[in-house]
Amino acid sequence: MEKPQILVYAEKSLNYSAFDVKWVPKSAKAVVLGSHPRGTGILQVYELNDGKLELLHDVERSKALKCGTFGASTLEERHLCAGDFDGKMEITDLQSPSMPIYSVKAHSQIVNAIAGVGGLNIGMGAPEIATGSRDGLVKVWDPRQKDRPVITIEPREGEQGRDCWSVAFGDAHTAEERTLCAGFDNGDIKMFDLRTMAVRWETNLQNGVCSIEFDRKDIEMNKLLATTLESKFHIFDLRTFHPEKGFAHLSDQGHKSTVWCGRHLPQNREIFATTGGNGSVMLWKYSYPESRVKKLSDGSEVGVAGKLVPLQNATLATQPITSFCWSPDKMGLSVCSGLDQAIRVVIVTKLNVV
Amino acid sequence: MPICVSDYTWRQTLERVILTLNLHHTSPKKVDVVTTSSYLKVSFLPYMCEVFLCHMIKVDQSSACILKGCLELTLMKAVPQMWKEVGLKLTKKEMDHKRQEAIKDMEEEEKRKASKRKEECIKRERFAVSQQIEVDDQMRAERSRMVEKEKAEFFKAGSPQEGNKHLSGTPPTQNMATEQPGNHNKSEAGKLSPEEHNTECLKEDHDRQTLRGRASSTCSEEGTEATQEADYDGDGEDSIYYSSTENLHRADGSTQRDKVEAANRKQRKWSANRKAAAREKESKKRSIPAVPPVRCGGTINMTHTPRVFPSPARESTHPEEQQWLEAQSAASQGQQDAGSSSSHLNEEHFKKKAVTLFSSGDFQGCANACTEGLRLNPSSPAFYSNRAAAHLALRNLHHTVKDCSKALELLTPPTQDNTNSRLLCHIRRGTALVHLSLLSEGLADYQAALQLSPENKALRKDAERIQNMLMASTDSNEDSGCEAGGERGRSISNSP
Repeated sequence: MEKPQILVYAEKSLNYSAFDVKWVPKSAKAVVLGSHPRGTGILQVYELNDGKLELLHDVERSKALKCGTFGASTLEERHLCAGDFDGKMEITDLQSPSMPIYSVKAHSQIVNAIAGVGGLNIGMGAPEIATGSRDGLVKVWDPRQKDRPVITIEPREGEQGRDCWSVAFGDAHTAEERTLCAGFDNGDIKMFDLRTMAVRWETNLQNGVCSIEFDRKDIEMNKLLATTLESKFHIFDLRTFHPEKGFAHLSDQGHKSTVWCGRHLPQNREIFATTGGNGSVMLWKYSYPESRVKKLSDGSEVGVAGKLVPLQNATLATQPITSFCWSPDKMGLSVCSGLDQAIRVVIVTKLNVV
Repeated sequence: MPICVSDYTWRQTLERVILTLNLHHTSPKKVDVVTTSSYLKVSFLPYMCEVFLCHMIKVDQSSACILKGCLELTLMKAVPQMWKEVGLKLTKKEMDHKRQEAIKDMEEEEKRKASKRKEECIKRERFAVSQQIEVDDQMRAERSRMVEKEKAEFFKAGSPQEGNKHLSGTPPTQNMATEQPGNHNKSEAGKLSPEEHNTECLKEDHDRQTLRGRASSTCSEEGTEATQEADYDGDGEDSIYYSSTENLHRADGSTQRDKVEAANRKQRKWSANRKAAAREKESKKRSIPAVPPVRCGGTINMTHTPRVFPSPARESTHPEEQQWLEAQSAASQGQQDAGSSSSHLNEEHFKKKAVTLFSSGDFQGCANACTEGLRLNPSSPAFYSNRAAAHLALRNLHHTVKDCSKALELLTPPTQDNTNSRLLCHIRRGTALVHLSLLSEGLADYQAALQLSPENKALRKDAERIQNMLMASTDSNEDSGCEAGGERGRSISNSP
């Protein structure tokens, strides 16, 4: 048993559909966001205790909740920003969840994805939240500014928008620099530089982009993982940009079904887990090539993609696993939720020797 | 029919009877011995020998062997006693009877043996299966034990931190009270952790290990702690905001280095803490770097890769989508060419239909036909006008007004050509309005009609009458003075 093992440590069956699950930073608690069959939203906080998940809080919301993040709040406060099916974005304090601290009607349709940066002692700069919605817009919010988004990213005048399925922040290594990446259902990935307020890079992956994540938010952009439909996922090496070829890129397949989620291990940015529509979780390791930069004949530099090795594969459920979150406090501890109305605490062993 | 022989010789001991039979040069292969406990038959074609034994024998302990052309049967006596005779002399009937019995006995014997064999077989199978199950169970138990061991190890490696985690959970809230309130920015949080580290180290003597353990575990969402990191992927980046060294150095897998590494790490940790503390002091002296103000943002515009279908893009459906698009464009091309002629036909058809229906008195049908025609060509004033006539005949006065208005709208560029149509429309609308007791409006229409065709005497008379009625401003008499309007209105025009 020298390979890392993916083991289910605790499982909890829910009576509602859970869409997102996140660890509360610096604790053994996890927040589950979902929707009751009657369409109302539900927010539950579970604590991992003695091999079991115990329910601590249970809050009902008027509309089903789709996604949440702790990324924009400080470590002391640990406020949760959640987006719901109505297009509303709310920031709540889990200690008093009935009254949200910040609430805004962010979009006209469901908020598909939410990402936060600037909090939790990660990254520099202002705390900001990005929401991507089915109405095709991506908006960036600052909790200090009420009602108006700080940045709105929309299709050009007269053009048809596409559903935004995922957003991710990255490149927040100084107080000014920040990059936002958004994935759309027609396979588009667009990278926006929020300092220059421009589209920095875009590409099309032919399949709808289910999830997108930088390997680290708080360093100069290094790698980007984008998982898509049709059991494919792509890794871009973002260190070297070539004006024509763009970024070096590596793509691989897994799960034989939609790859719903790709998440990097907080303690090691070369290891990441992907979850699939067949209920499986795969662990991958990326290794850098001999030289990350290659000089071309015309003198320009182009990046070189590395190699990807699957470390382990485990099937945990029969339904898709739609959300996965590594614990930032304990390496290898993670929680995932799927369409089978269950959340599972999953342990991945031997990550420190991999 | 085998030949019966009975030339056997016999001798006996207390327990056995030994019969010797001359095989008469028949092949030993053809010898077949059948025996029950009181009957013996040897067939060696073409001969056979039958013996009805006087006493019982034990069949399973008896044996037979062939030597030198003779068959020697050794029969074990059931009861050890000396026999006077071997075979009984019986009558034919008795012999038959005995034979039947013998056959029955043999059958039973066979059955018994068969069932015994089956039982044995089943027992053996069951045993094999149970063994297999045991082996499987053992394997499963072994595996689950290993899994449990892994889980326990996983959490044991973390259990010192569990304790620390609780501690770290509470100090922030305590420290919040002691520090300046309302100032929750990064520097403060950063200050807390080195302080915590320092206090933990001072408190707990024996857990250098826990300290190291903390370093590996306490990384926030994307792994930032005040631990110095070495660049390890050759990209020249030595990020302070990176996770613990523990993972990197263990990657070598060599345990000897571990101790040295551990010592180095501890040193680095101490130095990092000292540095962090120093930095904190410095930052305290300077103004605490405030969180940048709210961004003065704006809008970023983007262009998407065009996609016709509202569904998400999938590579597997791409060829089908292309096919569909091509089919659509081909079809629409074809339609465009053929479309104009066919719709033209239909329009004419409906116009004719409307006229025929009107003249036959089916005003509702006429109205319907006009509606159908309008569906094909929504900007044809003729249909509106004719429908108005139908409605007037049906006394749907409001509809008449509406349709007339629409028709007049469509006939807006007033030319010589559509004078007649406009005239008719005005008259019809006027009639309808008068019938609705909207006399002034009706008059307006009549006057417009008059303007279009001033020589129409009947029209003039109607107009005057309406004027009088209006001026009298008494309750209107609907049917008076509208013959011309009614008649005019009732005819249907064929003009486009």
